[in-house]
Amino acid sequence: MTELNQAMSLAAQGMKAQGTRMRVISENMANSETTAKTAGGDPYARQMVTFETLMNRKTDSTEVRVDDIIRDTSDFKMQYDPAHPAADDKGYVKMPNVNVLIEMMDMREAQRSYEANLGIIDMTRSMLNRTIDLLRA
Amino acid sequence: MTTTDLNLFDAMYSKMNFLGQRQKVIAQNIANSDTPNYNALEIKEPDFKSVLGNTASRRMPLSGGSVGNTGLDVTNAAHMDMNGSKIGGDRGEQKERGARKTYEVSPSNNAVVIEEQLIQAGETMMDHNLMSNIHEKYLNMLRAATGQR
Repeated sequence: MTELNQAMSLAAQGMKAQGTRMRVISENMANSETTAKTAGGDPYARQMVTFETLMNRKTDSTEVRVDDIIRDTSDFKMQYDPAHPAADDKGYVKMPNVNVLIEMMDMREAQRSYEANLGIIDMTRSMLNRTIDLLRA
Repeated sequence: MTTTDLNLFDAMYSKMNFLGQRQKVIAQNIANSDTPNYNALEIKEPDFKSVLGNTASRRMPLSGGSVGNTGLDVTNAAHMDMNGSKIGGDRGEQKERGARKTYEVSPSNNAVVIEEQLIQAGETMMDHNLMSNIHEKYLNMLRAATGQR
C-alpha cells in the first residue's frame, strides 16, 4: 500500500514538473513577438526548463523536480523595420529567438509526458481500490 | 490461525508487495522521462525456485529446513545474511534494481521509453487484479469449508 501511495506521489511530481514546463512554453509563445522599447535593445529571450532528479531517502525513490529555468543564449532574429522604436541605426529590429514550431513540438512532448503520468495515477488508483476491495470480499 | 499461515496467501501477499514496488519504480521512471542522464530502473523479479525454497523450508521446519535455508539474497559484500538478526523482513523486499538497456536514448542521455513503461504498468495492474481475484476466490473457498456460506 505504501509503495502504491509513493507511486502516486511520484507521478504527481512528474505532472508538476511537466506543468512548469508547459507554463514556460506558453510564456515563450506569448512573447514570441515581444521586442525592446529602446533603439537597439534586446528583445525577450526564449526560456527553457531543465529537470533534475531528487533522491528521497525517506522513501528510497528518485523524484523529479524543475532544476532551473534558463535563457536560450542563441542569436536573435534580425528584422528590417526602420519605423520600429527598437530599430537600430541601420533599421534592423532584434526579434525574440523563439521558434513557434519548436515550442509547439516541445508542448506536445510535455503533454505526452503529462498524460503518461496521468495514466500511472489512474492505474495505481485502480490497484489501490482493488486492494481495499479485498476487505469487502 | 491467520491467513498468513497458509502458503498460498503468503505467496499472494509477496506477489502483491512485489507488484506495488514495481509500480513505484515505473512511476519513478515515467516521472523522470525527461530528466537528463536518467536511466530507467526495473525491479528484478524474484525467481520462482528460490521463493518456493524459502516458503517451503519456512513452513516445514521438520524436514530439516533450518534458518540457514531461508537466507536472504546476498548480492553485495555489505549485505547481512540470515545468521544475524532478521533484517528487512523476508518477503517481497526486492531491493535489487538493474538498469536495463533500452533501444532509445535521447540526446540528453535519458533512456526512458514511455510506451515500454506504460506497458509494464499495465502488466503490473493486470497481475495485481489477478492476485486480488485469486485472493477473493480462495477466501470464499475457505468460507465454504467453514460453513459460513
